Order: sequence, then C-alpha cells, then structure tokens
Amino acid sequence: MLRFLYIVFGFLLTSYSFANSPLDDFLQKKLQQPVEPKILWLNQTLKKRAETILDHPYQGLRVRYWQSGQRTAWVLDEIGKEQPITTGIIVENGKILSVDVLAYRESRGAEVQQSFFTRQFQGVTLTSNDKLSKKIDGITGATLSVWALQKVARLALMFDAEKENVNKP
Amino acid sequence: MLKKSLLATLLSAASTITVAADMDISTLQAQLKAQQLQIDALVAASEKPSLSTISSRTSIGGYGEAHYYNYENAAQQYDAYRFVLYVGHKFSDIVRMHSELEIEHGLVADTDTTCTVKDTGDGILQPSEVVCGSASTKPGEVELEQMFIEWNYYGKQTVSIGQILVPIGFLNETHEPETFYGAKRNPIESAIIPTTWWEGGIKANGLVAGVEGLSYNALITTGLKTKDANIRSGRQKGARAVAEDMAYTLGINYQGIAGLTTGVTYHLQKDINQGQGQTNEATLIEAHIGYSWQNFSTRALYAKWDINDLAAANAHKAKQEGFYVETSYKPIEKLGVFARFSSWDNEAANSATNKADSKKEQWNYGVNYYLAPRVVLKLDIQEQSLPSAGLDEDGFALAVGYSF
Repeated sequence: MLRFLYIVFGFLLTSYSFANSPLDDFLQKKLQQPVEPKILWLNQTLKKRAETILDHPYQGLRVRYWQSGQRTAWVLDEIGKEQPITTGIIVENGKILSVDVLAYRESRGAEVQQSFFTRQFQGVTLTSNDKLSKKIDGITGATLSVWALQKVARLALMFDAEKENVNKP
Repeated sequence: MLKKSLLATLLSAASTITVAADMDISTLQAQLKAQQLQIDALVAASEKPSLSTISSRTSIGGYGEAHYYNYENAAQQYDAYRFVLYVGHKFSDIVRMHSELEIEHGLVADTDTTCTVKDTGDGILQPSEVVCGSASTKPGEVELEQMFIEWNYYGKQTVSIGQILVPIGFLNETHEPETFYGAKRNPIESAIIPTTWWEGGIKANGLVAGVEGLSYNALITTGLKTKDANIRSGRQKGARAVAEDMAYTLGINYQGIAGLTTGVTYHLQKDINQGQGQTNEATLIEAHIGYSWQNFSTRALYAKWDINDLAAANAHKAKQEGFYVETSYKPIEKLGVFARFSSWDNEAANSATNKADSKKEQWNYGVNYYLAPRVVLKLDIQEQSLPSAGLDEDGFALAVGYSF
C-alpha cells in the first residue's frame, strides 16, 4: 500500500515539476515555433469597441499577442460568473482557427473547455458590428461561461483585424 | 615617412572614434533596454486593478427578483422575492471559497414570543385574554445557501466541502432570474425537488476523461428531516441540521453535443425521519433533457420520490412525482416567449384512508424581455387545474430580475 502511495505521489510530483505552463504548450502547439510576443497598444477607439463587446471597460492599455505568418495567437481573460477564464484564440486571415480554455476557475460550467463546444468557433469571423458571424449553441447551466468565451472570441477577431492599423507609426 | 606617420595617426584616430562610437551605441542600447523595462513596469502597474491584491482575489456578485401576483383564489401581492449576494475568494489557483447569502420576501422580523394578559376583571382568566407574539410574525428569511471550499485537486476534478447546493435538475444550482422563464420556478422543481435545496457535506465532481461532455457528481451530505413526508418543509437548511442519517447523491450528466444537456440523479436517504432506529428510507430519482437549436429551446424533467414505511396517516405520500415540458423561442436577442405544461402529485400513493385524486396540472405561458443580457422583465400567465374545485390560481404574474 505504502509503495503504491509513493508511486502515485512520485507521479504527481514529476508531472508538476516538468510540465510546461499551459501558455507555453498552447503557443508551441498552435504556432509550432518559438515566437516573441508583440504588443498591441489600445487607442481610444479600440478601447471603446472592447468595452462594447465586454459590457465593461477593458482592463489594460495594451494586449500581448504572438504572430507567425498570418496566424496570430491571443490569450485573453474574462470572468464567467466569479472567476476569470483564460482562453487562447488562434486567428488566421480574419477567421478563428481554434479556441482553447487554458485555465478554468469557475465552480460550474466546466464543459465550455471541451471541444464539442469550442469547435463551434472554428471558421467564425467578425461582422461589421463586432458580432460573431455564427450563432454559438449554449450549454444549459453554463450560460455565463459561454458568454465569456463568445466575448473573448469577438475581442480576438477585432484585435487581429486592427493590429496593423494601430501599430502603424 | 611623413605620409606614413600621418596615415598611422589617422588610422589610430579612426580606430579610437570607432571604439567610442561602438561604446556609445552599446550604451544607448542598454539605456533603451532599461527604459523599455521601466515602461513595461509602469504600464503593468497601471493595468493592475486599483484595489489591493487581497480584494482583487475577492469577487462579489448577486441577483435579485421582485414579483407581482394577480391570481384568482389568492391574495394579490407584491413580493421582494429574493435578494442575494455572492462573495467568493480565491486563496490560490486551486483553492477557492464560494458563498451566497439571501434575504427572501424582503423582511425578517425579530421573534416575539412574549405574552400579555388582558384580564377583563371577571376573575377568571380565559384563553382569549392571553395574547402572545408569534415566532414568525413576518414571512422573510435570511439564509446561507452556499458556503463551501472548492479544491481543484487535479485537472478537471474538484472536491467541495461545506454548505453545497444539491446538483439536481435544471434550476437548483442555476436559478438566476434571467436563466429561466416564468416568475416563480416551475412546480416540479419546487414541490418535488425542493429548490433551492442545499445540504452540508462533501461533493466530488468533474469531467469524465475520455468521454467528451460526460460529467459526474457524487455527494455525501446531511439530508431532509420530516416525519410526515413533507419534502419541502423537510429541508434543514444547515441550521444545526440533524445528521443521524446521511444522504447520498450520485448524478451523471452528458452534454457532449452542442446545445444538448441530459442528466440523471439518484438520491438516497436511509431515514428521512432522522430518528434513531427508524427506517423511513427515501429515494429520489430525477431525469432531465434539454436541447437548444438556433433560437429554439426545449426542456423536460421528471422526478419521483419513494418513501418507505410511513405511518398510516401519511401513507398516501409514499410516492410523490411530477414532470414538466417546456418550449421557448427567441425571435430577437432581447425577447423570448415560452409555454410550459407541468403535472405533479405529492400524494400519489393511494392509502386506505386517502384515495382522493390529488394530481395537479398547470400551464404557463409568457414572455421574458431582456433590458440587458442579465436584466429581465417577465410576464407569466398561469392556468391551473387542481383536484379540488374552486381553488385554481389562474391569472398572471409580473417580475423583474437581475444578476451581476
């Protein structure tokens, strides 16, 4: 019995000690090469659009993102009911390639992390009024988490579309 | 010779200038780097919430709803139905506290049990001459609906310890007013599943690895305490709750297809009477299914209690069951319409002393109008069909609700 416990704790310790952070794993998997982060500074117009999408002001003056060719990676936080959900969104040529929940901290609604839900975002674009081009089916009992993911998906598409304009000298 | 010496001098000077220039560039680069670090630090500081680190780990939320009822065979009423505040705190990335404090019906009065004697002077004290206060002079309650520590001990697996909502049906865990149709909650998730239902104990829940959308709940908690099988009034609400016999709950949910939710729950209490040596074993089974597609949604729920060895006077309550079916449509984002049929019976077992028909039926129709995504105005039209004539509460209710 004691030996079994040693093995279990040893395994847990090993997995904690050597695991990459979820962010590193996400970037490595999605961009497939090490990329230095870039900064998108938010001007008044972008901050206003972000506030409209989120229903509250965006906390921050800038957004960090990663770019490899036409593909960009955005890691954004938004509160579901009580705690921030950290989500990684990959955008290419104005379309969402993938949505991944990197850290989920809410007490309910964990299903939003699963691919049956997140794959609905694939291929979705941003409409002219900053909405998603496709209706995302919700999850009963996880409405707030679903809304949070929809909001960060809209933000990522908006930031991606504006990154060249804003960063121009 | 002069030329050579001049050339040497020039080369030496050029070399000195180059070294100096190199030094200047490297110095500038270092300064730029230092300034960039300073800018980053300043921006990072200004981006942090202005509150302290402790308060930024603490979250506050809540919800509230107020109703107006206009039903036949019932008093017309306004009621500050619920006012709820959540406080949550993140102790670490894997340890969190959740709590929910609620005031129901707007007013909680002091208990008044004093008595006064008004002797009319005939020398004989009559019962009518003694006037005592009531222990429940007002309808309100202050309740601690949730207070638990949640430990996300591994991956998507969590243990919660403390005062926990029983994970059953659609509404018991998620009942913010904008998440359901109708002013009051449906009668099945009120009379059969005694929503809002919380117990003290421990819950393990999480996603099942390898099967997308499959999740489980397993609980060992306190249970109901009722000697006459009155489910709703049997809730002990964590107030020095008698725990002679614990309750065991196991639930499986599947949501692996976008828009679909299904679940079954089994709840067992070895003695719902909570008396030593008693054997009023009670089981509750519940099953639900819901599906949303585009702007249409539909949901259905069935729940049934079986309670053993009740005294003869309560034998007709040995079986209590009910179901509802609801469909809704949102023609625009801000507006939803619904219709629901409910049928339930808290006295579904006929006994020697009670064979009367006791099944109740109810239709509800109405509208939810969303002023904002989390602020709702509701119209709820109700038609009842009760077993006793002249008691149907037909009419309508209006409601306003919010959450944040």
